[in-house]
Amino acid sequence: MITITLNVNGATHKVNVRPGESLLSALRLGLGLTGAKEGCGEGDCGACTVIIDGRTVDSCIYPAGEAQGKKVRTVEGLASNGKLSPLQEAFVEHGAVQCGFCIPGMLMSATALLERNPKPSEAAIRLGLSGNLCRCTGYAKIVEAVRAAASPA
Amino acid sequence: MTTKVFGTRVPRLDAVDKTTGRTKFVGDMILPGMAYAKLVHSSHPHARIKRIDTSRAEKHPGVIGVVTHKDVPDHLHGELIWDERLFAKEKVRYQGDIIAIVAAEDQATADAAAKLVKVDYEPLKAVFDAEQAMKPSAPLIHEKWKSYACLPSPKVMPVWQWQKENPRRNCSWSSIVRKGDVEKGFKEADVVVKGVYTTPMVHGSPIENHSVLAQPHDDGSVTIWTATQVPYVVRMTVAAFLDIPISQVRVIAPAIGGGFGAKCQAWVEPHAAALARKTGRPVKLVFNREEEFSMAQPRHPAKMYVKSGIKKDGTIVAREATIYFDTGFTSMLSAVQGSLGALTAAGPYKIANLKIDVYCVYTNKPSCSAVRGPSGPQLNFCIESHMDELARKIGMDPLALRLKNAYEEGDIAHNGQKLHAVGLKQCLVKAAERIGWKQPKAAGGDGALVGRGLSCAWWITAVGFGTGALVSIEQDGTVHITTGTVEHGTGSTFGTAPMIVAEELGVDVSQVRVHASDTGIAPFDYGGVGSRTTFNLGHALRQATQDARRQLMANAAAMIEANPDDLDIAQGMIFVKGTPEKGIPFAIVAQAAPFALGPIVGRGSFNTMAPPFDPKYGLVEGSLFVSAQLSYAAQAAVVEVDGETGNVKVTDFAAAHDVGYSINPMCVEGQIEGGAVMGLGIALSERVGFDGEGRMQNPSFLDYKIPLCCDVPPIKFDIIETNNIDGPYGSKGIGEPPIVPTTGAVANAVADAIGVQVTELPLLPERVLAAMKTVKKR
Ligand code: FES
Ligand code: FES
Repeated sequence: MITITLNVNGATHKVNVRPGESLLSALRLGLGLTGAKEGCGEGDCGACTVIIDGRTVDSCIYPAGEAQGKKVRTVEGLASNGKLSPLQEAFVEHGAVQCGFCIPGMLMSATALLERNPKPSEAAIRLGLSGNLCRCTGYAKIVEAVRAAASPA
Repeated sequence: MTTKVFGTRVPRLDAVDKTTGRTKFVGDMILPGMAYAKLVHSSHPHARIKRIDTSRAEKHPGVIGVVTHKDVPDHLHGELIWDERLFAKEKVRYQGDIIAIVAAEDQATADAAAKLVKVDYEPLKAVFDAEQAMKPSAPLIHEKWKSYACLPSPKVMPVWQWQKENPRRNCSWSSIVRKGDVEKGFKEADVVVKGVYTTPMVHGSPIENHSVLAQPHDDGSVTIWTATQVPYVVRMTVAAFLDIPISQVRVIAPAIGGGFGAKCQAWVEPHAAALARKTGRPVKLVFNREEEFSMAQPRHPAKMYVKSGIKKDGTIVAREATIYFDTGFTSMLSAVQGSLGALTAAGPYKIANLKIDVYCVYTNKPSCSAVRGPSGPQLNFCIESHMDELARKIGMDPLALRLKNAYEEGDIAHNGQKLHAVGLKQCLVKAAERIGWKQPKAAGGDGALVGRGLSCAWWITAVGFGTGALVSIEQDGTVHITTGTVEHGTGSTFGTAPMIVAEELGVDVSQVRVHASDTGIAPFDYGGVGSRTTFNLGHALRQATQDARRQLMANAAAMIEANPDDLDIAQGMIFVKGTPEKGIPFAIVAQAAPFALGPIVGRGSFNTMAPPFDPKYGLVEGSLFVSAQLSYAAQAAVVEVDGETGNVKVTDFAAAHDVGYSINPMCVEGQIEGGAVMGLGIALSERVGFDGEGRMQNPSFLDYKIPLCCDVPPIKFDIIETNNIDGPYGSKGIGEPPIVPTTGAVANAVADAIGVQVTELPLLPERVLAAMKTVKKR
């Protein structure tokens, strides 16, 4: 075991990890942040998506050690003071959530997308979310929610 | 119906927790002293077991215990047909058959130790194809099939007896339909058309893998948290396999990360429970994606032969079909698959003469189960492609052909069921209209070939399994629903159920809480299968809420000295009808009730009964098929086919669904959009491949392609309401129907573009190109 320091959602934590342990595992087992999910462990589904220094990564294939000195954001950090972010709000209002397993990863990809491109076209939204598999929704209401959050009524 | 809550767009109650990451799935749970488990699988598709040696695994540092067949009662069990063993004993029947389960201090140790279990095999001849497996030369997979028991239910036992009296080699289940005289029908026909269609194994692949956590208790009982659609079935099965009373098993299905039928049977829960009881430690078993793909209950591959006779005016006079479903190494829900195949092979058409044979056949492959719309996408591809062939042969518009033969209100189906609330024709007309069926086709981009296709279907709302619900009102006016139903994503339990209570009680949805899918606290429900949750829970909840309302009104009447019959509720106030300004708050009555007439607890208990059947209209044998009034659907697609590459792009898609009545439009739409996109995956890209030894070749999302966000067109949906008199508030099931007609619609659009039907799914570019070459040759 080695001890590393991670900055997650603005707070600094010391975490013990095995050599080569993934960031996903460090977040879930080490820090008890179970929002990010494991759907494949192979970088194919996006359920484990977190934001590192403004860019999305599949945390299941990202070594925890490499996140040292960087700013990690997870779904637990999206709401502030109990208030949902506009994107979370839109997901709730537009029925974008079914089983919910893909949702934490989907929200992180959508958050990064809107930070990069506040007024994305539908094609840009669809492309931006294509690293995140959802088996329930057919993506329609997820795309609708992102569009709504991008251009508040 | 004048309603306040129904039909509005209310967020479901579990949505906020699911967007904040607070929702706990089984994989997120940790118990003190928890051990991690790994299964040991067979490395042969079919072999006799000579010896199992677990000694090295047991001695491995960090290992807590190993369980094999020696540690569990020596008997078979299952759901409908009891042909399953927990752990392989004499034989393994596929690459993946479970030999043992290992518990260790951490996952890496469990994984390493599982590799140390040694098995000596004597390989046997294997068979990987259903049609081949029925040949006399095929190896027998279940030598003792005739001795197997079935679920001791009066519905199942006579049908299982019929199966045993009509055995076929390696057949786990067959269902047949006989109506009229097909030979006579074919003679009357102007044209007879034959077709052969093939579909591969596909996977439900929920994004959450199977996950189980079993905790043993000192008194011998066990609590199991599991990602399942059927907690009460799990409870029954664990108890039966481990020979303990049902009351010793508590099963909780917390949030479930998608089911789609991949989680609609008890499965590895008894293995985890046996290990937990042997080691005395809580045990967690979470599949990785490879295990999920290679083991978890996929959709039956199918080979389908069909022949129909038609008159020049479009009347279909006879249809004959023989269907082979590859069931895999145990029967699982083959009885359901076969029974539904007898329905989907007939199609929602008036055909005077029918002869259908559906076989569910054992092979040395993973067990297939009842994946969303079992038999639907396979037979829709076959029957609806075949319908377009018929239309082409007699020069009739495919929409007109379907409208001519479609079932209508009051018709008697091939199984003798009298049909009511039949929205089939409305669905067909609507879906066609939405893709511009009557307008000329637009030109494709880059010279692509453009095609349009249409398909329709019927589907069941499963009957015969009941649901209980309680509605209690807390002292601050919060209304609690307690029920055994599960929430695997569809929204029936956390989206629609609260709306029913809010509508009946005149409260806001935000005042309602749901406590579901815990066999320790909630009344029975069969599970999230067969498009039945809203239908059954809706009825049970209506009773329970009306019961609670009566108690509430009686309490209020006593408080304000009025007659309960004169009272009404609106906006959280109870008042004498006509004088809402003189009301008493709902919450005040709720607070007083426990000290007045007693706490408010409403109860509901419901089981769906099949409408009457009249056997003089047709004979269906070997079938458990029973449904409440059927759901109807039509879907239509526009595709562009690249003539160089054979690549298919769906550019427009419409789905029209008769749901009876839409209580919760956001959830209904979500089912339609999600189901149709899943159907697009089956049509275009999804297939599980096997090597010659029955080993799965593509057990990852990289190699098994489900639709991505950028792949799918927007789904134009139409919700048709036909007011089903048997349904709660007129509704019918909608969980499965949206996946059923998609394959047919896309296949017909491709055929329209290239001039010939492609007869095998998925519609891969190479298959489309090959089909195009056959046209050029003609
Ligand atoms: S779990 Fe990381 S991409 Fe699937
Ligand atoms: S909501 Fe279930 S996978 Fe996306």
